Amino acid sequence: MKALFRKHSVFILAMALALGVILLGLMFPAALDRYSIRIQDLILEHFGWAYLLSSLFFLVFCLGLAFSRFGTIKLGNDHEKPQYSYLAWFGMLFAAGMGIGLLFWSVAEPLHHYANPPARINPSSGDSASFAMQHSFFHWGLHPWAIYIVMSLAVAYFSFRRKMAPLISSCFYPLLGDKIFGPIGIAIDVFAVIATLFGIVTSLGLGALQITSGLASISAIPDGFTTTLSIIAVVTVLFLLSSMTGLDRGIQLLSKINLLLAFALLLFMFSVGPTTYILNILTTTVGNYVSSLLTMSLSTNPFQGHEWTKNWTLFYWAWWISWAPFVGIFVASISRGRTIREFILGAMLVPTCLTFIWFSVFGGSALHLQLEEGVDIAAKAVENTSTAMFELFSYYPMGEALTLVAVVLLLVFFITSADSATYVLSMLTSNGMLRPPNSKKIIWGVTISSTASILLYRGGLEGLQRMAITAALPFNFIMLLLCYCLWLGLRYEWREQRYPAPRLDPEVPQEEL
Amino acid sequence: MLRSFVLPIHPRTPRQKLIQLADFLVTFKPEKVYLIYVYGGDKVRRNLLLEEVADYLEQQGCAVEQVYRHGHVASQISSIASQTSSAICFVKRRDNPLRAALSGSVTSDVLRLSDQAVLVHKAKLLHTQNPHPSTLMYATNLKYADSTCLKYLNHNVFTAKHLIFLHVGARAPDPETEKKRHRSIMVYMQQLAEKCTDSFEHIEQLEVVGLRKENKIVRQARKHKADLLIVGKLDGRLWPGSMSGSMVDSLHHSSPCSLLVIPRLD
Repeated sequence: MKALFRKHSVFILAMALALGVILLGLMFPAALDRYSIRIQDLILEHFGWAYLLSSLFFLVFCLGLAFSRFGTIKLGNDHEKPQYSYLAWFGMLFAAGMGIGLLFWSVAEPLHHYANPPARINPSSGDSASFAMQHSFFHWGLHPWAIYIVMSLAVAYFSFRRKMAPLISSCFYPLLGDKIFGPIGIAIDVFAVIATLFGIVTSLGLGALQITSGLASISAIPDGFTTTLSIIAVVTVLFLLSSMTGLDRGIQLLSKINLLLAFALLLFMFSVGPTTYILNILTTTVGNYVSSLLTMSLSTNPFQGHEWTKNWTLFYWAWWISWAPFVGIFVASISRGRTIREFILGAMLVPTCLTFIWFSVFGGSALHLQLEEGVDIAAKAVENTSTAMFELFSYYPMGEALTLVAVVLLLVFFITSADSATYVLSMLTSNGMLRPPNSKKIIWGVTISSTASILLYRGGLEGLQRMAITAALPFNFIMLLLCYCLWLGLRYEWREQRYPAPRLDPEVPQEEL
Repeated sequence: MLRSFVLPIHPRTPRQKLIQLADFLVTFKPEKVYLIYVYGGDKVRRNLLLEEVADYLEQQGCAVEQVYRHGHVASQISSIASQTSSAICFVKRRDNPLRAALSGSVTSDVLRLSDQAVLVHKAKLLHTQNPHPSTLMYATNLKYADSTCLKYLNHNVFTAKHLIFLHVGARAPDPETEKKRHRSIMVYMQQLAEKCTDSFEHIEQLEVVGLRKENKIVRQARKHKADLLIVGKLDGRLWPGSMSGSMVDSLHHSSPCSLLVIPRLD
């Protein structure tokens, strides 16, 4: 029994903890809601500054490493070549970064900020539009990618180059030594599993709601829980099949088609929409973003607009940190063979640039409708975030086709995200096995889907999201320590190359003494 | 090497501690002991304590020279030591932290400036009534010229029976490399030990990992009840270490026993 527990300790503990919280959400959704709101408020109120400082630190740390003497170290053996070409790698990074959230928030977020900016800015004005785009770039730009890169770089370095298990606890070896194989390592991995699980359940649950809204807007399918449940069931079957029966190739093909669809959608909106307006927005917002990056990075706005900062920026930072294990491990797995410099600059700049373009096209199009065409789309977006994108499409030619394309995109992202999440959770709870057993994949897959369904029905999904935010606080400190451990490991390697193994120096003549 | 000593005498140094240091020095059978007093102001002031210690040493059969100098204390001490090729001895005493922060510490300055061996003597040795140390601990960083230190360790002035080689290093990034690192260090320390078998009855090799080396050295010295801690002086520490001070400076404050700092020979 003891041996069994020791072998599956992360799985057992993570599952027990997760089920505990989920049961709480099931049996006492109102209580979970109440307490999770209070805890989240407390954390964001008292530790929001820590999230801002940490995120800026991660950004500076990444850039510092990229341009340091460690930049030429490979994430793998010295003569290893990258697994994927640049194009394939950028495509997968973009897919990892896009996800369900970006599709919706690229329209909803700028409109939200436009209609409800901080108190110091007049709502529904030119200033609020400029503020809206700038802060959308800020929330989805360099900082989240810096957070992911810290995690993925550490995992990639210690697993590919130092040949350790691809677990987050492995990254702490320079600091903790063999203690990573004991309770401390187990605790770190359990934390990572919990953060990943809560994050993916919340995203998939909310994503299913959004798909339901989309389908309801273009067809006779009712916008109700039955539809949502059916979507979750279909997606679950598909991603479980994919992960177990070697339909992986089919999923890879679907992912590539998905990326092509996404680009096609982007191109259509750019060319059919207000092209010049979009380009103006992109140019101006990039300039504003770059010039105000430091100010935005450290603004808790204690005198004005603190509530807004808490509800958006701090919430986002906590959310990205809770996603770091999942996205980090995925990005690490596709980046073997790259140098540290290549990895950091590629993984930071390319997805960021593509995100900026995406926001400019979709967010810019929505603002154009609002400001130039006199359509009050912002009010509708604020009222129902999940329909904002579909609302935008309704003002474009072939609106229904665009909605259908968006729904297909969402479904495939849903499947690939769930597939990746199931794999990451199975791997983290199987001592880092690169091919975890199918039983674990089934268990985690079913857990994710059933939890999302039940909490959607009972109303505990937002509570779970707040629990993910709560888990981000200790995880923030774990990530700071991760930076230190990574630096220790790289420094050791560099010193070994510079100062090889010790030998006794030649004898010093007696006279000199 | 350890044939003559420079002993700075400040009028406020406790007499008992100086006598104990003198007893300790006598066991080295020095050729000469230079008692130095660096005074401030223009007038030479008589140092009665210095004269008392000089008389005591002469009664023990040591040749003594009293030296009075004027100027920067640490520089004068280092200069005399360098001219006479003598090791410098200090009595370890509890510094007032505020005074040390404002006006500095002569011992720290001498450790930084001097190219001669420096001995900071702790009057009350840990575990023996014998004034001579019985357990030596040599902390090696594997970069310093261990051959120079081995000459000191094998010197016949030390009648210690037990020698401990200690290395404090950074842990490797993964278990396999860590095993190799540990093995190579133990092999190297075994080579060091083989060069000292004639001088010591019992030799031990210890390898410890840690980030703050000074703390680990002090902890091991305490744990193994070392009577004398020997370290080499490595100049040219990189930033940010150069801002926080050298390891030797840190050890001289926190060492639980007497400390011998061996200079680097270029």
